[in-house]
Amino acid sequence: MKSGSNLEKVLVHGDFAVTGELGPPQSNDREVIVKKAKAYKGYVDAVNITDNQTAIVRMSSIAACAIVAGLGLDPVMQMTCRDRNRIAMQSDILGASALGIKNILCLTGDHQSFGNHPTSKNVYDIDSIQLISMVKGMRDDKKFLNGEEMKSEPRMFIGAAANPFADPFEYRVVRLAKKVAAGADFIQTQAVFDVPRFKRWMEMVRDRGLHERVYILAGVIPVKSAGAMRYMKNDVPGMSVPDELVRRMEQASDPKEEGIRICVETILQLREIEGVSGIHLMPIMWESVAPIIVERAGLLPRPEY
Amino acid sequence: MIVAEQKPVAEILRMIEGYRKILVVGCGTCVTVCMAGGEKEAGILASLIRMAWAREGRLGPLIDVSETTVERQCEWEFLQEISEKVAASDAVLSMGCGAGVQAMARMFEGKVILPALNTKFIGMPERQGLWTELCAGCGDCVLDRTGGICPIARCSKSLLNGPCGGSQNGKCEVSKDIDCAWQLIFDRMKSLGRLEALGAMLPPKDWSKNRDGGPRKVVREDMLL
Amino acid sequence: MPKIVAFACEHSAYEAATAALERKTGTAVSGENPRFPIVEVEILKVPCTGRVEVIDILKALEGGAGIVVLLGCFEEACHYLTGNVRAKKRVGYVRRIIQDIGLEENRVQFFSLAPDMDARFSGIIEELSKQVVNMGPGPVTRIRDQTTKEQAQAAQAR
Repeated sequence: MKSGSNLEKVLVHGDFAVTGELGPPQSNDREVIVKKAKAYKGYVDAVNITDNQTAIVRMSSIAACAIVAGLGLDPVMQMTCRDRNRIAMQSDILGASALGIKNILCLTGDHQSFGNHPTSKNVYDIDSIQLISMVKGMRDDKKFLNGEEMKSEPRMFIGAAANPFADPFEYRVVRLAKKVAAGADFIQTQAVFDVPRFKRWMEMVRDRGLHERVYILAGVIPVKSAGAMRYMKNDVPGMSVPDELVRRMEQASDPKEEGIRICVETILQLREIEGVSGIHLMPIMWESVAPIIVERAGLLPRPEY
Repeated sequence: MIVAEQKPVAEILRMIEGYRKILVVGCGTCVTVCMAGGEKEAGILASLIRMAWAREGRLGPLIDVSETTVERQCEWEFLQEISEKVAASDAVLSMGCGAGVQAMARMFEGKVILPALNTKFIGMPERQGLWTELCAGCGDCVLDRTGGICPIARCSKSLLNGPCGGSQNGKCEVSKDIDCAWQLIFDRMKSLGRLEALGAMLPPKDWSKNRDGGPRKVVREDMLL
Repeated sequence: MPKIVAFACEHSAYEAATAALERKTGTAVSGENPRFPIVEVEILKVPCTGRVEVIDILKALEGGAGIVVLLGCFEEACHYLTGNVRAKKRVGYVRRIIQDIGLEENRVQFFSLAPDMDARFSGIIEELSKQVVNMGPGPVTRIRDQTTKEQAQAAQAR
């Protein structure tokens, strides 16, 4: 075991993993975290906590992860390269490990122009691939990025993101290979709506044998309304949504139910794809739907180790 | 070249409030080529200031707004030529880049030197009337590894191992008006038959060669006297 | 006296202006302005309106013009192909920057003319004369008037 995290155990044992995303509040209210995390308990293997997503200031991922860990759940700490330099990142990784956090997801981070402080300065001292490599060096070689040795290593299960729907399409798998070579243990993909395109990407992944070197968790988003589906299609960079799904949401008498149905269908299709090791649920502002989806997708009970 | 842009006139007028004799100094080098602070622009700005002051009833025998232009504001010898004019003014409005303003401030001790431009970047005219940034002056060029397209200056996140997940249809997630630098790099490397080179991770950058280490110096021992 | 400075292209507008003078259909080429005697009109012959620089327009305003007008050829008819298009854009630019200092954008205008359009020429000058009277004198003239008044007051006081 590299980290001994619950997520790692589930994946190493060959179970189809389920993780759920949790967005911290724009306040210091720990009850928000507690409530959302409790809703996930028993339904997911790890809770993945965002790091100021879309560049909006929220409670830090590291603090929210510590709260979640205290509730007996396995947190995945997201870390973006936007807001910290290599000094702060290594410091936070050490701190996170000391707080019992065993999973990290290394991300580039949304540009600050999307958020509520668009006049801020971004950092990008290192990029996400360099971050993966840095965490691996800390864990496996007990070395800081500068080559200096540390006494005890942060044992992190290292995650990275992949977007099969961004461009240039043919380069996406090359980039995934770079992340795997840099030290990624698991991959979390952009939300999948366009299953055929995802399948084509997975073919390319398998051609390079990457599915055997890294656990791939396919992202899914339950969508509440036709408007939300259209938003995903038109306004979210790096997202591919088939027209058929927009039509289904528009014609549904109960759009919420239809959204759940689409999500469950997607999960069932993803599960059939060779090399997909699990799913990552991103119920944006709709965490309460997670148990329903996990149950209907036949993913209960969750394994215990 | 260095590309700059004139500050809003209102901001300039606020800056020179309270002074009576203004010398507008153009620069004959980069900012002339990018039409921000050359002889023509110095004349235009001086004229605008005179008219603005006239509207406020501030023109009179003790008031003077004049202009002059030097070959290069960032060299002592050229600044020497205007020392008398500078001495006769209350405040100097420099239409040079940030280097020009600072060179004048050092040359003319005790004189108020104000910037009339916002210095933007190192770049080139894409076409007439449009300039784009090409170089960030990071001090450690990587263009040999990126097909002659700079990810530091041209990627919104300065990624060395891009593109990020926000690249779509060749455009950056920040705006559809911005080309994704990594798409450009990918295309260029492909046309050069060098795609495999993009498979290797570029290591973390040595930013100490960037401006973060205080003002940088270039020394040529063979030329120092 | 309110003043209009017109930069007239020798290939079109200047001919129209000359014809207007000869036929006495309207204003004079320079100086007199029979239809609007209270407005002074100065007409400057230029080889192309594209040759008129931003600073030339500003200097005319500074020199006391209430309105500066560029009179060039119609879009497709420029002797130098795109001089008139450039002039139009330049006029747009000057209108913007003079607004920055609180001047009315209509202090600077552009019109297209053909050589035989003496009636249109007279019409334009007449219209601009009305406008300049309404707007009052340009920025510099205004202050000169004021200074003269102040000087007169000061002289009286002495």
